[in-house]
Amino acid sequence: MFLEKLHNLKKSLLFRLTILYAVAFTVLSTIGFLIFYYRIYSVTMEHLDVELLDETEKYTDLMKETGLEVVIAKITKESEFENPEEDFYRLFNFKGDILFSTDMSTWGDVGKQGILSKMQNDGLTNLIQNITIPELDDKARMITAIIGPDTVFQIGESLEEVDEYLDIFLQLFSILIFVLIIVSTIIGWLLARRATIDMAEVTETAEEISNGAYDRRVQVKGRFREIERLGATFNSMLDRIQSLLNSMKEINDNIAHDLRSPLARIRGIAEMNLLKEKSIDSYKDMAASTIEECDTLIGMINTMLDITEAEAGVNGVKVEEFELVTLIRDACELFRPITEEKKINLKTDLPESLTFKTDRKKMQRIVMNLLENAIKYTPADGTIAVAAAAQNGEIRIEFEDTGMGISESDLPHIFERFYRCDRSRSQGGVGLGLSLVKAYAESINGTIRVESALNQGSTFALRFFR
Amino acid sequence: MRLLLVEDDIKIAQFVVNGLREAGFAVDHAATGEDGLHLALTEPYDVAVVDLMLPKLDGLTLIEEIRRNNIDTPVLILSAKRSVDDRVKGLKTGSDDYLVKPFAFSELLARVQALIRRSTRVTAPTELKVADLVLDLHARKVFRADGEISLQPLEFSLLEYLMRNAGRVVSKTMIMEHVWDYNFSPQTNVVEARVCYLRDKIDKHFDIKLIHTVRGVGYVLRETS
Repeated sequence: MFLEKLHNLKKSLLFRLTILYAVAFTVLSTIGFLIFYYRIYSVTMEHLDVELLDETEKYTDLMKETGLEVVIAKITKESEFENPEEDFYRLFNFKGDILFSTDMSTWGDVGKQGILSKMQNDGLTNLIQNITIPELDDKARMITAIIGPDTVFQIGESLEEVDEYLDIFLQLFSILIFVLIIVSTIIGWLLARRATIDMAEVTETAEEISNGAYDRRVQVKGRFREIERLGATFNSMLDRIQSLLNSMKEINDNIAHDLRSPLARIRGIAEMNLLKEKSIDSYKDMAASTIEECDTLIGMINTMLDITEAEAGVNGVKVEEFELVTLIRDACELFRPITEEKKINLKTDLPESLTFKTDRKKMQRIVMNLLENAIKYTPADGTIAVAAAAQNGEIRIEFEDTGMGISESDLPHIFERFYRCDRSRSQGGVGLGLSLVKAYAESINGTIRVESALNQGSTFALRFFR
Repeated sequence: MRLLLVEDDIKIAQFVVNGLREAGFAVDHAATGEDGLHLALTEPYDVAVVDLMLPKLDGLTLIEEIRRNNIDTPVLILSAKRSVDDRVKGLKTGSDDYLVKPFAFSELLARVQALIRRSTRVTAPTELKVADLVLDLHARKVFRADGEISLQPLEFSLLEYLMRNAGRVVSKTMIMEHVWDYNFSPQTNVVEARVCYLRDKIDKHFDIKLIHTVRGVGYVLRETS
């Protein structure tokens, strides 16, 4: 139980951000302090060394000018007030005989001849070393210098004082870092919470929506830029979903209507035939009309699937090169009996040749549907003009008719599935033809536009990029 | 001709069996994939019609098994799956044709007979003849009772298709697909109008009518009505 909670906590963004912030803050402060500490230490040591060198220089000069006795007298005088545990002074000759020494009972053997021979080997006149005072376990700095022809001078200075005040720094810092860890954790937590609280609100809204409140939206104003974007994207996604839901609902209503009508007819005719003994012709009629109604239904279902597949891009596009002019002429030829019967003047304005490389079957269907549409809505003695041309690397095909036209209020909806300008649905067709044309045209990199004036006619213009 | 039908939907199986028997086939019906496979491996059939979604053994596996046993009986798949992928998968497995449910029985019959014709490799005829109507495929000319009838190219193709399927009903969809290469049916009666024109030229001046309408189903070219 506890482990699970811990595991969940580890996965929480809030927790991670807080820890990350605290760790980053602490590590950076520690590095800063260490640099600071090291600088202080090295500066102090440099000062000490300069002091020691000054001292030896002073005695070297004194030795040259006066002699050993005066030097000893001077050292004795100067070392009088020093604490022998903190400083020592001594003089010895090259053989190692002590010429002068302060009380070195706490210092132990700091070395004489060993250092001297090392200096003589390396050709040095002085050498600064770190040593340890064994009795007190303190560090010390010691200089050994040749100040005369047979005289070596040594000064040792305990680092106890330096260590003491560096220790104070260290203590101060330990306290500071402890405070910093706590403060940075709190600040980190506050910052992370500020960011995640907005996210939590988005999540909350999403939860409400998944429970059915589709009209809920995320409050966008006055948040971090990123959260604002998340919220806005989230909201626009919701808008899209809602409009899809609405149009799906409408489509569903329409499908229900369009499926119900043929089913009602089939059922009705069958029932009438069963109620009373009928002639064999009546039964034949029933069978025939059942087949016709079924074919209509199958056609509708197939067209719906075709649209969906084209929109989803499944099954792909089978590209082949073909003669577009022939395709259009064939389609016009196919409808010739109908146009002749209706006394419609079907004109074509086509170039001699126009090859096109795309999905031929889809193109065929687009042309057939638009042509059929024009014929359907153009009254007797009307004119339909089909034109095609290649222009600036694109192919344009236009279908212009002098038909009943489309009203301004219907115009934006005519490519919607099951939309019919005629609300009573008394005209044939199910309102899928233009949806299919649009879906097919778009699936092969084309666009379709329509211009129309009521009772004057419509023009459908296709554009394809070669 | 012996035909094997593997179909689990009893009502569909019933009308297919009845229809095919009326068309002169000796039909065996299996309702599961296993039974179908057993029959296919033990009996010699001229053609098989197989549904894809079958109990116990699915249609594709059934066809694979048949082919693995070196039986090259032509197979027609009958399925409610209509996507191109499904069709291609079916044809790759070793079937010879694919028909989507719901289907027109006349189309099933036409396709079955086409499969048999293909497998028995009858040499292509140069002339089609029904009663006193003769269609010369080489010269692309049509004669009735020795008088030539002039037809437009579209009408010629339509008549050729009807004559190749003489005695069989062909649906409007089949005509759209085979004569004009459109794999869909327009809502307006383009086929009806074309057949009407053709009938004017072929039948109008003769007592014996050859082109008949079967309401709701399609058209048939034969001597008796």
